[in-house]
Amino acid sequence: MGSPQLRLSPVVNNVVVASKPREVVGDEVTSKNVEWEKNLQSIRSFAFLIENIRYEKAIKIAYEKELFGEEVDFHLQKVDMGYICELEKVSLTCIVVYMSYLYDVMKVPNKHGSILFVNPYIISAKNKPGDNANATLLARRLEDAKPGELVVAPCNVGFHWSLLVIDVSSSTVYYLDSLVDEVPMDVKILIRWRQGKQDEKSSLASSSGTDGSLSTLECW
Amino acid sequence: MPEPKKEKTHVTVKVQRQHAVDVFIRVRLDLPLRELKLAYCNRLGLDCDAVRFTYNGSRIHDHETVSDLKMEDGDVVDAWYDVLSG
Repeated sequence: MGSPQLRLSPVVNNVVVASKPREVVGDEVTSKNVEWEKNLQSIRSFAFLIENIRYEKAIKIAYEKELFGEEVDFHLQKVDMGYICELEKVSLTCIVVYMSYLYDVMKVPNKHGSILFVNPYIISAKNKPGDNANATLLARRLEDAKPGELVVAPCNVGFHWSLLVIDVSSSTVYYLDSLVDEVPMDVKILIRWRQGKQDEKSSLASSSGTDGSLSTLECW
Repeated sequence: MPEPKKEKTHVTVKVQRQHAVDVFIRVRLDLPLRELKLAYCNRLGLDCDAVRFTYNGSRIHDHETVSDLKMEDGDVVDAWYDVLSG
């Protein structure tokens, strides 16, 4: 991972857990935000916008194929934006909007080639027991990953947002969670992949990845 | 003598959702659409609180009916699975 603020815990079953360090770094406390006036104005404009949107109004946002590998629509509603203002909860739609913003920002310096976004709906939506649609959709998206590309997938296991970063070329999954150091069972079950001739057991036990790329990728 | 035309009592709407099969539901004109939501969620095993329904870009309220929204046969209702967390 590129961020120096993340501490990686020992690798467990090919899943690396990252936890955020608690200590303050450098002169973070005394640093002055020179943009604060502009930011405050922006926040006030946003709050004004939300106040004037009808409760039932849904803003339809269509995303092109380049963001998630498929054309998808989302509806942003007043309640989603209200939660953001009140610092309460973050909805799936807000996560998607932010990912779209990140994608646009990264596109400018042409860095987006090294990162592949996964639609958070794929991992977070709950299906009937025994329905493997989510894993199938994730596997399909992983097939789009080029060598050296990191696959970024926000996920929600019921009460909290976390992030999965998948390095397909080394078969390593980084699990970034600001609350807990343990990988939830749901995520472990989702990210079980098989490789060509390797059996399932050896694939999960390997901690440092493999030599070749994943020719046949399968998620469960 | 021609038979008097029967008054329409139901409409069939299509409920569509991302990565899910379309579901056609026949609804009585005066039935609160809360019942449509429950029927859809029961059919697909979803938590009703986690799914939002919109019609023509507006969220559907539980108490609204097909007549209120002037829905017709074949109209599309969008269902959105949402996750709210900190």
